[in-house]
Amino acid sequence: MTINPPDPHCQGVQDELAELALGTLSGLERSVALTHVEGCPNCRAEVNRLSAVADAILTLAPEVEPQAGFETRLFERMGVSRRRRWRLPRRQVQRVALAGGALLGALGLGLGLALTSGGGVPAIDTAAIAANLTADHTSRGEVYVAPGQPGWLFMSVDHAQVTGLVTCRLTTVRGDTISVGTFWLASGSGTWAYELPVPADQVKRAWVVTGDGQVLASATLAH
Amino acid sequence: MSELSDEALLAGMAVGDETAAVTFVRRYQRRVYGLAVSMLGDAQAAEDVAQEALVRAWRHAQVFDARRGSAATWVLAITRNLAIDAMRVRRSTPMDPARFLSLGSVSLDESPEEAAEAHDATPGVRAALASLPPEQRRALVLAVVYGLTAADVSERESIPLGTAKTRIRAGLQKLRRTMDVKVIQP
Repeated sequence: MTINPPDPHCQGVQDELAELALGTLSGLERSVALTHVEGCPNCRAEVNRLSAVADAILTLAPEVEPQAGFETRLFERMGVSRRRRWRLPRRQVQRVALAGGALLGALGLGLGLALTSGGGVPAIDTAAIAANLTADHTSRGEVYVAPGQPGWLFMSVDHAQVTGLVTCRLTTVRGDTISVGTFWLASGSGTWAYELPVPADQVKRAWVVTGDGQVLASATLAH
Repeated sequence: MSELSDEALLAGMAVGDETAAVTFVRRYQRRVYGLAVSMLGDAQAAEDVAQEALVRAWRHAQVFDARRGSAATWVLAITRNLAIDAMRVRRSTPMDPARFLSLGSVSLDESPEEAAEAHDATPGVRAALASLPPEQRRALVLAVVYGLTAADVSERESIPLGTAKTRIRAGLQKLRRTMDVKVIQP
């Protein structure tokens, strides 16, 4: 609905409202328009509506993948701590697993380990290890363990039929059990990545355990 | 965390929740960078702008007011303003508006029907923009996206100043009527 300016003062600035809303008006024209708008609720409302339209046009901008290392540089600037940033959104994890892309590249870790598709868990053509998380011989997700300084663990859980905080535990080849950290499962699904507290080649099994100690799934890492 | 609404993420960011910030960044970095690169046409300059926009969103999340617009429009408006500043500092020529329109989802040749049928997150905006005459659409994109004044548009399009002003104003008002924009007054 077009607002019909009720008085000559509105008529005088109506031509400038669009540019005022866009922030492209300058000089005397801007000063005159602003002075009027500050005292005129109708024109102020119109400027706000036109600003909202301009903002909406920006949402048509294309989605473009930033350059490699964008996240790393950004998180450094933001001061986001290193441990936090590896908790990945589900969408990214699916892309990693299904597309068979570079696992750690997608994690933003920059180690460049390549995955190739093959079976339930993509095969990895480097020293990184992938294994199925299972429970009662049924797949519940995947685990990836990648060597490095530090090494990394990435875990994706599906269909675990639990919502809540779960713990990732590791059993080492020496038989030690280590709680690595916790993450959230929503409707049985969740993803998580973290620095390994031990060398990757020392990890024998990975476990997903509920708060009351119930084992939801486990994976055996074949080195 | 990844399933939280934008508003919830910004609320988390406002109290310093880093996980919320990481999720927000991963949700919006492609759109923010996409807007910056379509405005600037230079990958490095676009990264600088996109990073600064996301850093500002992180640092100023507490001023976001969901009643006045969506998180997407908020962070994209920050990006647009920074990109305009960058263009002015670099004294660079704005990209052709056709680039923004074609990289995005609205072609200069697209009909309203084609725009309405296209799969897009903002179908109302697409269709409304597609319904404008091409010359009006160009003037509007130059002003809205690239921050050109009416005088700039006049010079660039080789049209009288009055015509440039009319195209911008009429285009914006037509979109406003088509989209039936509602805003809550501050």
